[in-house]
Amino acid sequence: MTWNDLDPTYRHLAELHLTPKQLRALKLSEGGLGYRLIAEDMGCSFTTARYHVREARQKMRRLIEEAA
Amino acid sequence: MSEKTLTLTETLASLGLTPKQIGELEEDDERAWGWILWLREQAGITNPAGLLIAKYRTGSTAPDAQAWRGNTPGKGPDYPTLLRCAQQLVANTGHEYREEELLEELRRLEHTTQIGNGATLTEKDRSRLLREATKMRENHELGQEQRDQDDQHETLRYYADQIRQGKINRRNLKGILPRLQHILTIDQVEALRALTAEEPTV
Repeated sequence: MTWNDLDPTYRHLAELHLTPKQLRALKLSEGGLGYRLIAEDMGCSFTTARYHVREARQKMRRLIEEAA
Repeated sequence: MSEKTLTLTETLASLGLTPKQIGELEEDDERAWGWILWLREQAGITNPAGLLIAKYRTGSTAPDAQAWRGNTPGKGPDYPTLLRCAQQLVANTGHEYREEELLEELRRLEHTTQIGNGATLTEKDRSRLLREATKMRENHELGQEQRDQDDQHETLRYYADQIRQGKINRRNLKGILPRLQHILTIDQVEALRALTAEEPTV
C-alpha cells in the first residue's frame, strides 16, 4: 500500500507514526473485522494481524493521552 | 530419524557440549539419545545443553518421545499425545501454528514412521487430528479477541471516568474523539459523546 492509496482521513494517522500495515489493520478493525479476517485480507497470520491492530491502538492511546 | 544420521558425539557437539561432557553422556548412549529426542520436543528452551546434562545426570530415562505412536496392542495412535507432539513440532519450527503446517507435519510423520503396533496414520486419522487442532486454535483465537475487546471496554471506562471527574471536558473530547474513534467501537464513542453532552454548562 502506498501513501496515495490511503484514505485521506487516515493520512493524519500516518503522520502520527503508524506504519502502513498498522493503518490498514486498524482500518479493517474499525470496519468490524475480527483478526482472522484481517489476517486473510492482509495475507498474514492471525497473530501478526492482532499485533498490528494492538500496536496501532497502543500508539493511538499514547497520542490521545498527550492530547487529553 | 534424522538425528541418527549424526553420531551421538556430533549431535552433542552441535548442542555446544564440551568434550568432557560429551564423554560423560557417551557412557550411556541410549539414555543420552532419549533425552536428546525429548529435548527436541520441548518449546522455549534457552539452554538446551545445560538442560540435557541436568536431565541426564538425574540418572533417569527420558519420557518416551514416541509416545504418540500408542503402546496399546491393537489400538491406533494416542491422539491427544500425537496432537500435542505435532503442535510442539510445529511450534519448534518457529512458525505460528496453522492447519496447513500441522497437516504438513502429520504427512511428514506418516512418511517417516509407522504408528507403534503396526497402525499407519490414515486420512481419517489426519482429518480427526486437524478437526481437533482447528477447534483448539479457534478457541485460542476467540480468547485473544475477547481479551482485546475487554481492553476496549476498559479504555471506555477510563475515559468515561475522566469525563465524569471533569478531567476531560467537551472541548477536549472534541479534540480527541477523532482518535478515540480508531480504538473504540462506534457505540463506545457515542456513549462518550453522550456523557459530555450531559455535562452541566458553566
